[in-house]
Amino acid sequence: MEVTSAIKGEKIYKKFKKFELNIPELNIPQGYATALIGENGAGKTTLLNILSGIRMDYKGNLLYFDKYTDKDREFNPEVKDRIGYTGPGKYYLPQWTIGDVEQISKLLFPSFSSEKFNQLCTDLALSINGENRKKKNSNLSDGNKMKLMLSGVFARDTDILLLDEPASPLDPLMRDKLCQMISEYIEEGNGQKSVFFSTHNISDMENITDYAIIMENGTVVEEGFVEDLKEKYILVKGEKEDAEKAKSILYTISTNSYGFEGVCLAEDLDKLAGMDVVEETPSLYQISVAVMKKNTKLVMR
Amino acid sequence: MRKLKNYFTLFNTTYMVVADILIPVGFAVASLLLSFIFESTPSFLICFFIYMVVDGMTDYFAFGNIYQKNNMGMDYLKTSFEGMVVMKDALHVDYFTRFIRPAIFMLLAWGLNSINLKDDTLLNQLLVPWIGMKNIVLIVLEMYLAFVFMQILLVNIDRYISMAQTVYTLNSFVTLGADALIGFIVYQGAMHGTPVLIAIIVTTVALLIVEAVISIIHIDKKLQMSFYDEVEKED
Amino acid sequence: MKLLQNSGVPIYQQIADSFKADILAGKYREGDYLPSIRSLAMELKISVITTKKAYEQLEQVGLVTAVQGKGFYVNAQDSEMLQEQHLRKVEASLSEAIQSARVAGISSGELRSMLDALLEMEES
Repeated sequence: MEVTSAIKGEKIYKKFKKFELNIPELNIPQGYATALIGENGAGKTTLLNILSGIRMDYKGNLLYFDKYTDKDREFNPEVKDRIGYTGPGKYYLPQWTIGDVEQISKLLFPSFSSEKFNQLCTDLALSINGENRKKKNSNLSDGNKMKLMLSGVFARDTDILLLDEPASPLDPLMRDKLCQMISEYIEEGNGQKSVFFSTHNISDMENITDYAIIMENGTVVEEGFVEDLKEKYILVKGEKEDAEKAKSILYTISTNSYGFEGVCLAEDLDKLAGMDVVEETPSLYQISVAVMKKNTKLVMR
Repeated sequence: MRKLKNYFTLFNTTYMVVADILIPVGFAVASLLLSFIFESTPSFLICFFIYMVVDGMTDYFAFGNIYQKNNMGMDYLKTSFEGMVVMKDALHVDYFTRFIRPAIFMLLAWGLNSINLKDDTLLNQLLVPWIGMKNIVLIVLEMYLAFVFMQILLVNIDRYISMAQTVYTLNSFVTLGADALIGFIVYQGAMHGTPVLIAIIVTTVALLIVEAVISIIHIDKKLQMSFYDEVEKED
Repeated sequence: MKLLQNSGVPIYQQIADSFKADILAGKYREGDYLPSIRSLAMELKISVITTKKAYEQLEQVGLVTAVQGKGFYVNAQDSEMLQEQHLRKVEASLSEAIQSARVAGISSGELRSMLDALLEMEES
């Protein structure tokens, strides 16, 4: 499928003492919601920090919206105004109140709209009609901190959102709301606006995920449009007798005393002929777990 | 002007009103009230030392542990084009207020205390009855300079420390040092007269300039470096 | 449109089938644009890529045509073509039945009588 890239990366490299991020090629499709999936320590936050300009100590080339390089990002005021970012922890200074966040955002981002921000604060029950505006960021719960960050970023006019673990601190209802907000953002952009988010809550975000990038040990191990991935991988379940034989064919397998269950590459499906198996289309969650399992350093028994 | 605007936006109004205005003015007024209640107390001196401790502590509420590795994250500022400049501006203006605040306190305290002057000089307030009026001005100036010097030194250290309790302890330590220093200067001034006082003041000014320049360079460097911190973030 | 998450039929297939039925039933006329992929995704609370795949399915069978930057519009559905479509469907189903019969070893005669019986049941 032909798609343009919202962000294109080449040979992104960053070395830490015990960890190495090395991504030969990165493409975030424009006009879609892309999920970044991976274990803790896979390098998701580092990658998002590099893309958003928080970290500058990396090697490699980045191209934003097909025309701006990462140098432009630092020296052309337009670029960072088009990139929205929310991150964990120390994003807003702890002593800022909701009101301060509004003032400061106005100062930092030309496209920030106070009206939109206050509407979002009301919609997310963070500060209904201006109450709570004196509340400090450090006194907000994790969920409310995230809501504040989301209000801040959705109140701007951006072309791409880079969201680092937006769903983790949110409750199920708010996750649903987040999906709706992302969906509306993509719809509003009509092919121009993209979202790139990292997540552990794959099943909660699955309904809006168009493209998935799975990372392990600092590199991309699988990526693709979700519908394509669902054709590439097939979930199979079978009887115990076939387990040993299936083990060599399947991509990942887990067995118990009654049978086996595993993920099989579509191209290997013929090799299972003759076995008593049922096939199913896997969910993105199942695919991700399988891919992560294949590449993890964790010991899975 | 841009620097001022950025300072006012980046730090919340409560902090600025309290630290820049309420506390200096409050201590100046308190020194007047004290001089009414306890007639022969060096109220000016007492308030000066307490004010010094409190002023150092207010920094914690705006810049507390900002120089710590993880705190220099300040992701929000970095994701915007102007962010780093805004932060730099605000920190520069903050250094400027370090000179203004004690000046407000000292001038006001001096002015107010002259209302309730028992003798014809401020001597009673300072309890150094044997030096002349001309030297009083120099001593107050030296006290002011020593205050600013100590305070800037203090915040530079405080900003690396994350616990409020440590900040309190540190403050009292350094304040004791300042105490001794100022006592020494007053004594020297009294013993050797004007030329020695002037020499001390010149030295303090020189030290202060060096300190201010180093502080500013340090801040700018620290902000730059925050992009290149080798912090291995989990996840 | 009713989408079933766990029916075993992929979501994109369900959407494609639903639009196919609507188009064949004449709810969309020639030249009408289908809802844009992103707004449909938003309405149905599904991903953009799923709706896109559904539309591409429709495009493959010739019901709609994609226009770069504008979306998908419904092709002319003249009655002859419609008839053709239905006929092809019947043929496909019947040949599938024949295949199954061969596997089960059912003779042509038995198959015919089976069809007759089914037709009778339907009519009564």
